[in-house]
Amino acid sequence: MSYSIFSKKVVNTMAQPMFFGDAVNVARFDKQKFEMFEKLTEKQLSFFWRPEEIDVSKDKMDFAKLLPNEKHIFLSNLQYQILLDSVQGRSPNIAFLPIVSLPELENWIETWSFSETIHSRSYTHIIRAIVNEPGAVFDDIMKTEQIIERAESVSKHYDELIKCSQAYLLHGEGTHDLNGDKTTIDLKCLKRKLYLTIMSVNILEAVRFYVSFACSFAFAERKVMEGNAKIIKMIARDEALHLTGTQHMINLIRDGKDDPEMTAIAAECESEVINMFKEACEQEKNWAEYLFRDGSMIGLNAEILKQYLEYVTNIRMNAIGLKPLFEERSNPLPWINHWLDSDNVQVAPQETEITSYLVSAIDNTLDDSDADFGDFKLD
Amino acid sequence: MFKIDVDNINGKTESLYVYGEQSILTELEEHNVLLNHSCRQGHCGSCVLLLLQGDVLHQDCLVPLSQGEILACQSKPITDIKIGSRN
Ligand code: FES
Ligand SMILES: [Fe+2]
Ligand SMILES: [Fe+2]
Repeated sequence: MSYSIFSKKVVNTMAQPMFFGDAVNVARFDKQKFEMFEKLTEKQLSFFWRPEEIDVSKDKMDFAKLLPNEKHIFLSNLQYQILLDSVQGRSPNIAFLPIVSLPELENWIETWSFSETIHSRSYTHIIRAIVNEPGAVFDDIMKTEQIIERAESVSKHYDELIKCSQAYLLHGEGTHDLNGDKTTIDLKCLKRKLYLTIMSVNILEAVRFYVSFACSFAFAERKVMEGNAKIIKMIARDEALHLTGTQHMINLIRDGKDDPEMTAIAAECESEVINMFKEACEQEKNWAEYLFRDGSMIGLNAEILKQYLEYVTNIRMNAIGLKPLFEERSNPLPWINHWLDSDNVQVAPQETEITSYLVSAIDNTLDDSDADFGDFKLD
Repeated sequence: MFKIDVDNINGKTESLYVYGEQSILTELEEHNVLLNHSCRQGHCGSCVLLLLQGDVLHQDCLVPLSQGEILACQSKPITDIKIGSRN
């Protein structure tokens, strides 16, 4: 077999698995196996925003007044987010598009990855506004050991999957010489790499971003760096959508609604996955230590951030049917939800109105003809 | 003020009094009734509850809901309500 960008084979996409079935040829959305992915795409499109719309001019004055340890916290977080979005701006496309088999999922992956490129551009917008030499902030990323170390953990599953699926698409199953490296490729081990990659992306978007989200919002709670927080709020809103996308893929697999072989792999990988969550949470805790090495900031310290990380990790594990790693607890940073909840997200000018409707409790004394009252639109 | 009767959610049965300005999810959290959730934006469906009595105003969401089901993160009470777990 070899990969074709438009295979001539006529396939029924309704009978395809999400990945590693036949390649998508016609981009058609008239019938869909998993409609959720189209809904995610539509939502993402309605979220469209541009960093230039957000005024960050006051942040320059605020930044100048921050204490040196606060500047370290602020810039390091941005640098880390730059790394994460550099990865996310390209890798869903490179890793998943060649192996996806459903048009609606293909479309979601492209829309998802595109929105990450907006995040990347927004960091330049912020940094240009607050420092005189933006170049130095970017150059330092590759010199900061704590960031580079984590670049390795967020990209290693992607890299493995990309290497092996490219070999598979070129040569099929078998033992191949990859740059002098004899590598055996079989579909089952590829699917395993795929599952772990989806999981690692889920962890990236659902856990790893949250330390820096918390710091950005903590600055804005004190009314400083508010332009930045507005941008981060838009990013957090996008990320909540992205992480729902990977959770949805994982749950379809785990619940046996997609490829049965993937379901079996998910069961086999369970303890490995739990370890991935544990490891990521640990790494993020170390990052919190690094951020606060020269001192805390008002409203946040390394200890409380670590508790928040455990809380977030639990929630994310729960959402994909895994037993939470840490003791159940209430949110140690309750104010953060004002920034993460949908009601408080400012709508961008091009976003259409949010519709709400009335829902009434089911009244058993009413008959079915009254049931459509539940769809009553208020606005 | 509205009364929210919590009917055995995560082991809790109690009544809360709220202004109706925040989502039911946030109200429950503030009263220490812990509820499954993830996105807080109406995408994932983790926070689904049953509306047993009363009316809520519900924001649009991506999750298909059956009759009487609401997402705690997307709804606010507009009358006194009673809510319970789906299963
Ligand atoms: S938390 Fe995801 S739908 Fe409410
Ligand atoms: Fe992003
Ligand atoms: Fe993302």
